[in-house]
Amino acid sequence: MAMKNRLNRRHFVYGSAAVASGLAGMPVAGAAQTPSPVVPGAFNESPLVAEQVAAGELPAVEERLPQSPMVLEPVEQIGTYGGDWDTATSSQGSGYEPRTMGYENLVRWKPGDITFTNEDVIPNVAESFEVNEDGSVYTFHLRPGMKWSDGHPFTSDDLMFWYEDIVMNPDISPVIPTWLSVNGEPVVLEAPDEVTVVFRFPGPNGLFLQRLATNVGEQPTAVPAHYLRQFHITHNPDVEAEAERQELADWMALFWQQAAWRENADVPVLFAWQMTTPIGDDPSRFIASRNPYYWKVDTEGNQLPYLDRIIYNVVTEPEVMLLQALNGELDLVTDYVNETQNTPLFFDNQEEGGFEMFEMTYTQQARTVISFNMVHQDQARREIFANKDFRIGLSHALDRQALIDAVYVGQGEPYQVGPRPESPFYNERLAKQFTEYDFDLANEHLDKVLPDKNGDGMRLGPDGEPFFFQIEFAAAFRSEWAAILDFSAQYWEQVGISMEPKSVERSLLEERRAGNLHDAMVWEGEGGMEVMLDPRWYFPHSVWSYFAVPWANWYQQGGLRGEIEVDDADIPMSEPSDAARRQMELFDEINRTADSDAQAELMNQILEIAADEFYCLGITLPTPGFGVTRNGFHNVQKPMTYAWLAQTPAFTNTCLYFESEP
Amino acid sequence: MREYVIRRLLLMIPTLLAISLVSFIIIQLPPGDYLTSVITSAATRGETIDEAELAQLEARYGLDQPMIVQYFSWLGGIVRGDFGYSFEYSRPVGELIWDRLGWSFVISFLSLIFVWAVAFPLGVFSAVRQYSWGDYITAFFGFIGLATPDFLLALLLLYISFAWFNQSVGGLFSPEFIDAAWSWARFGDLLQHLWVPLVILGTNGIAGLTRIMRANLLDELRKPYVTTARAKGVSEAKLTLKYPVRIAANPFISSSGGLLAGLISGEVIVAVVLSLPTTGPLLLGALQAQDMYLAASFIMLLSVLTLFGVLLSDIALAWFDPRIRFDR
Repeated sequence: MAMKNRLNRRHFVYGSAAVASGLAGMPVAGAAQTPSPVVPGAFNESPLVAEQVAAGELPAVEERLPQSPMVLEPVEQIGTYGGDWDTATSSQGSGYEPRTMGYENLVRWKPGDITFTNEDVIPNVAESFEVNEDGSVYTFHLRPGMKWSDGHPFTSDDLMFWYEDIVMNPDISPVIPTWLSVNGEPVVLEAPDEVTVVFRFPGPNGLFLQRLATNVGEQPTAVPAHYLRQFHITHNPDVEAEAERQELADWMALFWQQAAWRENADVPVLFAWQMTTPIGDDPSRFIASRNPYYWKVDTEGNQLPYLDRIIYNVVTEPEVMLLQALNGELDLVTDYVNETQNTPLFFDNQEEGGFEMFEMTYTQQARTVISFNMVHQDQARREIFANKDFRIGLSHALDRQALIDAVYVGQGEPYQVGPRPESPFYNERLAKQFTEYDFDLANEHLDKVLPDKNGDGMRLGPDGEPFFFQIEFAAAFRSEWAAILDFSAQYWEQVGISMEPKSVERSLLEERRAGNLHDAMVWEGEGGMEVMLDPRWYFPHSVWSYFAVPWANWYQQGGLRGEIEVDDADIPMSEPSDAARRQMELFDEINRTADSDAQAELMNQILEIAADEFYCLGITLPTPGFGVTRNGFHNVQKPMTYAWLAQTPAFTNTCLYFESEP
Repeated sequence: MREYVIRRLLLMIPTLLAISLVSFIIIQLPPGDYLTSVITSAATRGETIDEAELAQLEARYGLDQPMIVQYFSWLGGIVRGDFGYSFEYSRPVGELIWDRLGWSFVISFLSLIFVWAVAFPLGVFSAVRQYSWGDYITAFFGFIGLATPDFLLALLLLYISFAWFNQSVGGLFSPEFIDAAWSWARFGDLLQHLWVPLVILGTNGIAGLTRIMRANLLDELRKPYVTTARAKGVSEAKLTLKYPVRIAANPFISSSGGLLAGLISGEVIVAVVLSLPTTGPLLLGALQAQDMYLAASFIMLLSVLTLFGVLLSDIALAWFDPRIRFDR
């Protein structure tokens, strides 16, 4: 840790060699993870690669690996080389490829149970990293001798290219991504030497490491400078002409086309496999093959990955994919067909199909989140929806257990919209308040909002007409929503509230959301574990905080910094309530805090306010689902956590998978 | 004859223009655009996109321009052979579609041949042997074929091969042949897979054409000239084939143009179910993602294919029946 001594200030040290457990009151990287295994003395390689080495096509394994390769402990056992990973994807470019062959960021989430806090971020492409005290300077130490899949060295020069020519190039990035800036001011990147990169933010950026570990952090280590410079106008003035020759709109289109590792087999990568039949070449499938320069080894020094190729069959029809899975033709099923309603099918066919089911835990905290538009365009409706008693009343009017029995065959527990019980941010009040089915209590609360009723017992709105609203939902996205809303409408009718479920196409839902035209909407409850990274249901944080889109827009556009005129905005925007504003301030405070405990403390305050405000209604906490592995396909982590922000299954180390029988 | 063909070709130009406009408008009709689908998929994944990033993407894809501008720049490109840019695949549309269109054409065309080859003799047979066992059996399967939608037939076939043969159908080649160079072995492998979509696509057409052939031939067979010929001792085979069948084949050929259109659109759906490397899966994906240039170009080219199919069938009819050829 020579770097550590050279830096003349207090800082945190994370990494394989340094465990900063001695520094009191600071985030500890080593506590939650098993200590990294020692780098083995000698290395082995796949027989196929060894042939190429013998033929003089590739250098020896010691020269291909970095000086200190990343060492992975196999989940079950040391594997054997060879074989293909047969898998299926619903369409070309569905985002399944990065989650299986990709996810090589500077840092990553540790495999296993994750809580999505700083403690769970471990080094990956970077051999180690350090953070200064206030979380504004992040220093990454790359692995000396590490190479791209074409054998060209991977150095700090690649990251500088990413920073100078992509992030800071106004043609390519007119807007700096929010995770790379603080108060609108972009990060400054420095490369003191070939293996060191320093991210210097104008102020503290407390969630930077976590964001870098998610899918947004893919780009910095996915743009090989030595290949892409020839397509960048700063380095090659002829690209404009070349773009025109290829009938592309401009040189940026050419650049992105060349940088797209899923569609372009020529761009070098750091992944365990590289596309050899890229997306778009063969309509029925695409194939990724072993990267002989991959920089990870197992504990016995075998260069990873074990499997030669990943074969992605494009199967557009879900029923066909289901049949393939039941036939045991797919080595691992984590997506698309492992739905709850297929559980008995898979269970009955385990023996015959030669596969095994395993538990898959989801990070969602709800399958159904009902958001009432608290910032409705219509004054009268706004007042009703924003009235907490209205929402409490409707919540008490729902018999959640009966809903769970009817729709989820009894699987699940009554739950509102709050972090999952296994999350460190679990807040019992937020999760459980107002979940008991109590008819009288429901009426009591509703009487405070809409006391007048007509002869049929239906409550009258301020205009004297029976009060009526719609809940919009995308039926195609989750089939159970129609049933849940039908049941809810019946329960609410008993307390005198008339609701109509309205199924709309997903794009229309999005348009109506953007225009703030909805009464109420249903979506899934993301962020059950990723509490700080996706707090959309806990306060008006993102454009998908359906309960208060105009407030979220205000926040996103820098309302707290006083940079905007609400009246001039071309998107729905208004000043948030005091409580929401306080939450926004607290969340900005999290961004300005590097200390994990302090972040947790602030987030808990946000969640307390969320519990006070009770923004949206939940029905049930999702129970674990299942995934499927073919017998003879090994090193799959069981149970597996399913999270987009961790790129499941990639974060469980897919390079360790191997086959004992084809 | 030449004049007839030229006239028909010229008429295709306004038709194609109208098709291009309609297909472009229809694709734009659903709310939102490609960006909306980007946003909704980001919403599912728990990513955050702020409005500034959206504006950036909008400008990058040229979606901030009015529709009419987008239409004419697309149309202008097509004239030069440039079909625009696929947002989803980040590559020119032209690179994506030709292979798939080729396969779509091959499968549709072969299905047409298959339909003719089966429906013609079957129709003649059931007319000549009216109310025989053979006629009833043909009618029975014919009506089932007419009533069963293609995709359902495809799903049934998939299930049968799963339940009884423990293998999955789908695709046009076995895995070991997908990347192989053309050889007799590969061709044989193709034939082993190709019959599935042909049968599925053909069933409907066979059923319809058999009924048409049967009805027309029955009409002819009752005419006096047939009775006269029979009375003069002309052999039964010659008697049937020489005049009545030729006349009865007229509607048979003319309805084939419409049949081709049905085969092409049916192929799109069946290809989705069977995962064929044709236009179907890609077109469906493009429509769902509102990848508009890709989707519009597909619809456009499939329409061109259909128009030429209809033209060919009309030319065949004109060649077959002098009355049409000389009539202006």
